[in-house]
Amino acid sequence: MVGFFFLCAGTPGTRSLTPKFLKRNRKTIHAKAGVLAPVLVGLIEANFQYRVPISKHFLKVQSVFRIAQNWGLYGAGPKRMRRLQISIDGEPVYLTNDPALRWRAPQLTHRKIRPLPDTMTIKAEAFNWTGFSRWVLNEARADFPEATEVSVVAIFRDHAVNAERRIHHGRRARAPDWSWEHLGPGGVRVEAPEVEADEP
Amino acid sequence: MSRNPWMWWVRRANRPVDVRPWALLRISLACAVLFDQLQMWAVGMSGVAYQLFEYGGLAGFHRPQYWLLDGGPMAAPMLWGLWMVCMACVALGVATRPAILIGVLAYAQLGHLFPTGDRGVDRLVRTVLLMLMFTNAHRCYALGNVLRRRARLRTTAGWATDVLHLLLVLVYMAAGFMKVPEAAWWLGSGAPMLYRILTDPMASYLNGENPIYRNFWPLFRVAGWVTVTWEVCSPVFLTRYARWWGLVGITMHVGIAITMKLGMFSYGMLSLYLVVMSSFLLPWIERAEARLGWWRGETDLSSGQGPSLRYDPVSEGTASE
Repeated sequence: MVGFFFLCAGTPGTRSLTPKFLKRNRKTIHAKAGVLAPVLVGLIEANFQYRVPISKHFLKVQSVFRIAQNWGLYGAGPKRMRRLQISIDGEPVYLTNDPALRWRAPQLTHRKIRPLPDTMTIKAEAFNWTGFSRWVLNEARADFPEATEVSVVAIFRDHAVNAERRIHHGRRARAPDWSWEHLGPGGVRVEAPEVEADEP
Repeated sequence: MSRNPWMWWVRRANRPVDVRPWALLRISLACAVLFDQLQMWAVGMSGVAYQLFEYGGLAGFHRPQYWLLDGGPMAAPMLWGLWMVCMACVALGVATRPAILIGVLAYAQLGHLFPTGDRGVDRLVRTVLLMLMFTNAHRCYALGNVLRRRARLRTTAGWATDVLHLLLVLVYMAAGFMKVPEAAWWLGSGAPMLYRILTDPMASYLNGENPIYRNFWPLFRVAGWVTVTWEVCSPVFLTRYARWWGLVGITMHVGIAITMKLGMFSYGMLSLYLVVMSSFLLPWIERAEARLGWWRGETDLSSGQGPSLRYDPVSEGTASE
């Protein structure tokens, strides 16, 4: 019984395997998986025909313990390298994975905190910007009381040999009011982009 | 196999397996959580991450399932403290079952409060902790046995081992199937899959801008084939070859621990292999127990919990024991 509950309520990797997913990807699955395609399609169909209806009855219990899972283990890896850069008065003090720029690195690289910079480098308007940018500003003003400008930007770089880093988006706050303004490609000030939900 | 499938199923689910790997899993999982959270506390982030936005929290949103919205600024830190005390109790084996239940509830509540930081491994740890609650792991290598002067249990029902194996199959198959539709892992012209993962600045230590790593692209590509094949073929965990398959998994997770910044993920996953690799592990446990005689004092082999499961190299060889 316990095993049955875990299988239905906490089965990893099956949350995203919906009829919509199958409809969108049927051709791709057949093209990429070859002889394994019928097995894959069968598993996906069985998931939403049998497991999902049962799991709906367990939803209330499951959500209390928060055990529903979806595993990608990084999929095939990101298509480009993304970094978060924090600068004080135009001088970078933190850059993801840069051993020379490590201001607040122990905090920003902890596995529980790392998803925040990660989502913010993906989306210019991620929900996490609000709390994160406030934390950065508080910490920066405590450590650099003379500072007049704090900026947090996402830097992209392709995998090609001669690819260059470029600012994709970000935010900047300036004294004396320290309100955040949006930055677009190249670090140029832009109007606030339309809000896009980054949470299901 | 019995002629009656139901009886066969009942016998299989209830077959006694050695509880010691499960007890070690209980201790290592709780220690992994404690270490992870104490590390977070040491860098001063637990009070910021586990807090509502209006009280200075990092998260711009929280799940509606968070119960302590009106609890004030001290609610989340107290919940965190309760979680840590529970995990310490789980590791020590004191009031283990209530500690698991309360600890997992607190853990889940903090996950609802700070969903961005609640990763796949957190969900897996909670799932396995809940499974542990239904085993006899609380009565082995437990301080509670010493305090309450009760006998150590030697066995637990085998269904838990089967469910854990199945959980690993689902985790790895899901990960494998996520990779299959992507071209980069096979013969794609671009950067190989493992290269892209291991040079992701957000999660890994390798510097992808260093051209030297590009010389190893063939190696990364072959390692990617091995990874995807191993993940997709993970139903082997349900066979008697599970421990051999597990050796590859251990290698992969040790590699992840060395090359990536995923913190508790590797240690949490490696903890599960204590049960998968139990047939390899039991002779070592026997030897360690023989040396640490004081643990023997806690042991009662005639405690009425089914046959003693001392390591027997002749019968050794099934996936579940």
